[in-house]
Amino acid sequence: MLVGPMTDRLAAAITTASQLAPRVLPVAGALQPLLPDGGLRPGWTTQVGGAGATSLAFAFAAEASKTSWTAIVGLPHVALRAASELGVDLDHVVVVPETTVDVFAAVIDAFDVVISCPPPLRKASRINARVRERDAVLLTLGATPDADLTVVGSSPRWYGIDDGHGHLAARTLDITTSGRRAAARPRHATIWLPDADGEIRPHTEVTPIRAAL
Amino acid sequence: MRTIAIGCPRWPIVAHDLSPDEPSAIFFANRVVAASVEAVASGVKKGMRRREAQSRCPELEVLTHDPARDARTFEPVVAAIEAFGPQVEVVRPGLVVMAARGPARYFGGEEQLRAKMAEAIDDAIASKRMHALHTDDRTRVGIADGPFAATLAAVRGRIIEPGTSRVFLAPFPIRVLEDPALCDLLMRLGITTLGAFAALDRPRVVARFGTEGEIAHRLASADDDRLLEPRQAPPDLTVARELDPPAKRVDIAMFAGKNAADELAATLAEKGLACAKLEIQVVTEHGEERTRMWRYSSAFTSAAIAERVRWQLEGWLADGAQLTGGIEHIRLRPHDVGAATGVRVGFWNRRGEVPDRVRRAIARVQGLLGPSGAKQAVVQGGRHPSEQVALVPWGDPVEASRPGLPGTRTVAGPIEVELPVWPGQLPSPTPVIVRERPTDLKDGEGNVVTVSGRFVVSAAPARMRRDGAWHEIVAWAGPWPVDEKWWDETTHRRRSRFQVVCADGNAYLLANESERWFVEATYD
Repeated sequence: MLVGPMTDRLAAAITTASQLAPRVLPVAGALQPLLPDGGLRPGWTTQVGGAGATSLAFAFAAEASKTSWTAIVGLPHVALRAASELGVDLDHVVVVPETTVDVFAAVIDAFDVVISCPPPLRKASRINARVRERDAVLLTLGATPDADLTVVGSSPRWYGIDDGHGHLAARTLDITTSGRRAAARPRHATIWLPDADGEIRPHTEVTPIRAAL
Repeated sequence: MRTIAIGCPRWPIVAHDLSPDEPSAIFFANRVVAASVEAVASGVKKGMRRREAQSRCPELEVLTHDPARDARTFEPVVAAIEAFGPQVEVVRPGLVVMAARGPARYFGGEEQLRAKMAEAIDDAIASKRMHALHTDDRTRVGIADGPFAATLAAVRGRIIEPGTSRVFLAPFPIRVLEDPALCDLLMRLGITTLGAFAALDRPRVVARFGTEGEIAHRLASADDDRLLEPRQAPPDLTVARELDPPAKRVDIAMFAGKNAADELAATLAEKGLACAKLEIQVVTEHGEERTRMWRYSSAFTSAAIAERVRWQLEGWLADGAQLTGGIEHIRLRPHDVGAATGVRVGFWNRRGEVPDRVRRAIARVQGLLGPSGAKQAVVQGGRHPSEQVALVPWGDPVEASRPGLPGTRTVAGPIEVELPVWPGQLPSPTPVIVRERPTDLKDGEGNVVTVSGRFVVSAAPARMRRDGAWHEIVAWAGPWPVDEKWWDETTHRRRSRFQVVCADGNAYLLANESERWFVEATYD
């Protein structure tokens, strides 16, 4: 535990660092502690996997989609209503159901955020380089070699459903992020994805589930 | 200017070529948009809900609304009309106007011209049909001063004497202007007939209602040869596209056509201009040239331009007899160009300006994968997540065909998104992955779980098969019965839905139909 002047100095150092930190795209408050810069860093490739991966990818992209253009590439089975419920602004979304390497290149050049299936293994490094060069944010659902950040969801717990009655209403998910360079230190958090009101919030032990469920 | 209007009543129905004795109606968004003579006789009316129409006329044939098809089948009719004179302007599939003076002189008078045209066009329609045309569906021709008066004269098959069109129009109710917002306003101001509206001072109408008001006023006073007042000689606004290689397929030609339509709309908007007529011209690789003029009831919107271009290209390419080669050039030329004075636009556009880089990327993706390679999401009503968002090729007109009940739900974040409410829809959260796969479900004793005809579950499900392995079920809910489209054998679906949570925490939406189990969707 750090105390006294040590914490002050640390706080000052953090302030300086945050001033120097690169511009990032915003994410929902509950997800900020999971990211080294508190947001999506342009130029990074993030692989999202484990339980609840698709919801997580939408949750990460939601805040940014309000102002930035988002492409959903090579994911023909996702339900966009769910994306909308998680906060993705569909007015700024372009859906590209099929994909080729050329499509990847065209989309990465133009869109701020790209949510995609994993790129073909052999082309992954080229695509990552393009993401870096164009300052795009690439969120892939599945294993992607040389990703800058890895987000893994685990231990989903559903609430609101019981033995033959109720319905799925809320879920908590444990999330671990780790990666390279600035993201080397793993981070953990448990979040509601979503809670009973449909929102993404940090999970605290005292969080009550609405009695109505 | 003396104008002749040629109207084919109920064209969308006639285009389907059904037997005239069969009642049929075309629906869009659950409402009747056109009904056949027989259907009208049994009480089916325009704008009626499907259920009501079917209760009045149980044997009603339900047809789908497809304006592109109507336009395609109308093309030979336009060709027959063109034989009578130049300056043919298509208003919509089923309605054409043209200058009457020259042809009338040639055929020895307006009455003779009217009779000759009606006969020739009926022949042209009949030659493409298997069934005889209902007498009430015969072509109607009318002549009057200006296209609007001629159109109304055509409905009655009349010739209005020169100079009396304004009198002819005066008793018509204001709603024939087909601008619901404006008509509603005028009616509340106590102006219920065209005559009363035409009596108003035009500059004052313009000052209050902008371009649309001016156009409506010109229509009401039979002064609609030009809908927009040219302020100055308009610059050359022609937009041309060259296709290399020449396009024989509609989707390929349309890709360039859409692009040109967008550019034309953008140029007009940028210069503060509006146009009421659009000339579409194509040249094929064999040097054949086709030109067609489209007229719009008011100033063309960008979606309307694109739609006319698509209809026209489909019409020309579908009728193989007309063109022998692929299309090499597409030219769009606006006519009747005037200043767009205060078109009533929405206060803001939620999407905002689409940045150029995004536009270019979409064009590139559509170039690689075809128009449906890049899509936009339209939120609509529906029970199942796969129905709740329609994916429309980027650039196509966006219209939710299942509007749903208006319902506002706040979703995460500061922007309030309106998601339509649909009776019987799944409670949120919505499953994220919708992909149907077969599965099996067993109860605690190892028996297959079944659902009876009255939606009673045989036993609580205990295990589910997933990817070849059995997983324990820790929580479940259901059955939620769904009995959809029971009136239609081919699309009828009767299933019961369940939500289950496995021991590893993964949740699924399952369905049981005809004693088989499916994973409908995954709550990933």
